[in-house]
Amino acid sequence: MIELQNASRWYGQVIGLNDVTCKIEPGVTALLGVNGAGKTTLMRLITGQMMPTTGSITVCGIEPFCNPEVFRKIGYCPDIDNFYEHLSGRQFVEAMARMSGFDAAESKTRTQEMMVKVGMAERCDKIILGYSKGMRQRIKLAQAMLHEPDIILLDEPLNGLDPIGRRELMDLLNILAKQGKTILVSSHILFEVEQMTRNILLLHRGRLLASGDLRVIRELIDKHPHRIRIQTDRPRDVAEKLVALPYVQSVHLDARGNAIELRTKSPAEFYEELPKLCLDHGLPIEGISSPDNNLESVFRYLVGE
Amino acid sequence: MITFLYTFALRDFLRVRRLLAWIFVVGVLFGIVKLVAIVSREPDGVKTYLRLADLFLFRVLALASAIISTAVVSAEIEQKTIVYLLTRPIPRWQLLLGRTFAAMTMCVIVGIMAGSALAVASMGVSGLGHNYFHRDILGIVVGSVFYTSFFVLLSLWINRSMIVNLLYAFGAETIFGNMPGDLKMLSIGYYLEVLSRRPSVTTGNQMQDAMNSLMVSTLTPQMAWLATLVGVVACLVISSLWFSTHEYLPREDIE
Repeated sequence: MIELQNASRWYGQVIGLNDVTCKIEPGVTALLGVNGAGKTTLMRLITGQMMPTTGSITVCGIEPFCNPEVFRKIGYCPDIDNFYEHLSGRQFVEAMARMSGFDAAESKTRTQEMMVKVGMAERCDKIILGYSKGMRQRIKLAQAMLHEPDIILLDEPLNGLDPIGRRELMDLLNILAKQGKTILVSSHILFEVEQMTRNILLLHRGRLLASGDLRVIRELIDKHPHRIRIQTDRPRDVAEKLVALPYVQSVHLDARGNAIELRTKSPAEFYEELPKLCLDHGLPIEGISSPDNNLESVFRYLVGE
Repeated sequence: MITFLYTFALRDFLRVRRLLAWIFVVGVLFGIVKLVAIVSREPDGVKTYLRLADLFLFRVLALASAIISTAVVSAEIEQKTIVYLLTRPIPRWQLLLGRTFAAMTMCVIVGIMAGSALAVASMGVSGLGHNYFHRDILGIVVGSVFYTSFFVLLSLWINRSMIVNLLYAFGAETIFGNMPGDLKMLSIGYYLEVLSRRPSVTTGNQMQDAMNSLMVSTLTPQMAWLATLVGVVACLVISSLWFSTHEYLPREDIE
């Protein structure tokens, strides 16, 4: 769907995106990175607002810069709070629908449908000037999705949304992803991104640090062994057996005495071995969790901050 | 699509707050002309009209165009709303032309308001039916088209173009407009004066009148039409090409 080949973008002497090569396929992909990582630059390149300085970008095989053909397939929710403040939400979205090529009647219908979908049906006739951040976010989402694009790019869409709004948006994105749409979401809220997808693109200082499935990426990070927490009422017995395994690097007893935390570089082998070990030695295990097998840890390990 | 873009932009230009600002400018112009008419005690209102139209009318038009033209692209960049326009499936030249035509229309409206105020303040309400005023309306329409297309082009090349547009409207136009001989042709206002075909008015000041007679135009109205047409088409074509091949991003820090 979206393909970047050695794409770089310079702003004068500052590099915004540095030699990025990746493919974004249908489904939800999270675009992660700290401020200044190049997320918005990447979004702008894909949405044809900018040209890459070197390399190439294609959307459905077409170069996107200034290309209306691509804009028909793309819905973009930018990371700005600016609007035509004197218009009402409905008027704004309707105008965007007209600019997407729909006639007046079709624009009205689609606008009404989108307003219901983003939860603004009751409030969309007030002027945007009086809108809260969350209401603005919903209007931006409406204008991005009203023409039913195949590719949806959402730049920080969760900002300003209340918990219910976030949940609704995540559900909506999941439905769209199941319909085969390509959705790229940039966000700082890692916990919620993780609930949306495990497929990530991680940018840092303009470079693509990692792309793909979060679990696979986590396994590839050798520098930081996996931490696995095991709850048991006999922590010393469990620790004694586990520490003998060749791929277990260390075992720590929890201060409260009902859990141990071990570190391993081969979590897959460990998880395979563990049930057998428990059965053979009659070890009572009440729970297993992996505190650093999440997006936040992966993000922290890769970015090094 | 151009029609929708035109009406969308024009509706924005005709917002009450914006319109009130222009009504205020026209009101000030009306007050100045009325004051001059009273102070000069000129019995012939037509002479007052001609003298002050020379001085004010196309200046106000240039001012209006300089300000309104920036709303076509520049203001969208400043307000960051350009992103909504540029990510729609509209060829950029259509986007630019639709909005430029709306800006031209708004300039015509402001120009006619200013011309009417000038005519009424100097000749009374009957001035609205006077031949000179009607000819000035032609100059206003042509001037709106020419100034707007030129200022839109400038605004595509220059960041925060309002200042440059205003400097041109007041500085360059005045300097070029008062140059002797063919150098006057560098001023857009000069072509508009030729097209309006206003008769020269004696001021009573012999030195001034002698200077004015030295500055007599050699440009025919036909040539002025041709130059205007070429200028407008050139500005619009270059603007469309430029806007279709260059980046226009919301003004903010890069991320």
